Amino acid sequence: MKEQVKKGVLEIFVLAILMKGDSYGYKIVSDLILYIEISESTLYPILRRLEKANELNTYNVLYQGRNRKYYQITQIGKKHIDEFLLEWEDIRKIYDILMK
Amino acid sequence: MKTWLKELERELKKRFYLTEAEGIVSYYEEMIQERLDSGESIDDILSDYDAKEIAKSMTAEVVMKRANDTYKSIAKSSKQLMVFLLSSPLLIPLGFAYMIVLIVAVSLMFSFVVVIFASLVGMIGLFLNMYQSGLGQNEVIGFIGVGLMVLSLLILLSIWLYQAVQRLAKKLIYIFSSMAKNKGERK
Repeated sequence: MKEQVKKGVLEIFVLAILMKGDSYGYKIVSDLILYIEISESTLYPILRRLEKANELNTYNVLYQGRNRKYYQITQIGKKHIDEFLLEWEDIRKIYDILMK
Repeated sequence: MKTWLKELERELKKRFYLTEAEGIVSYYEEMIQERLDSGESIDDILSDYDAKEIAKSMTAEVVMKRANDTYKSIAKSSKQLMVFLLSSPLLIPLGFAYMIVLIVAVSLMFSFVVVIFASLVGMIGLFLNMYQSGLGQNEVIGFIGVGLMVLSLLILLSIWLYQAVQRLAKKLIYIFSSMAKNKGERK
């Protein structure tokens, strides 16, 4: 996938993973890596950006004697996905019209 | 693992505030721990990470997201951004552009401060001159009144200048770090 496109959709993919349920950093990378090239270093700024934009909440869970940070999607995050998908649909419609 | 995390912390502390560094270190600590739990060897895991590269790659993102609401933090962010831009071969032109914009902004600010200071000194000189030329008490009081009004305006202008410079510097940090981030991602 081209870098510019990838940059825009990675946030949506992370949010999409969290739509299925709360998750933690390593699990998010492992789930995404099946479909798209992503590393831990790429994920960190995305999570931080989404957290700052209040699209994610975080909480810690004690797991095997250490803290595991969980991420949870918020209403703002869900709205972000909806808006993105609407925009995507519009792009598709315009593309179809242009190709007729 | 502890040694590598210490190295990462050291690299991060060179560029970031303690809380920023701690956030990144705990993220990588969790990642390494998760990978160890899933059966990977520590050598394999650590071979994927380069502490210096991580610290460098986070610079634009961290600097951009900072509040940058005090002169100290603005100065620190500007310096870090400049060093980051000039030390990354692909971003050197952006670094020079940032340097030029900063020099122009600082020169403008300096000239403005000089103008305000010169007006103040000029005003004091004028009062002394009037006093020595033997003007009446009423005229002197009148001129002092006008002088105080001008002084208040200068103080207001200085406050405005202070805020304007702060806003401009903050905006420049945001613009240049997001440009650096975009360029870095396209690399």
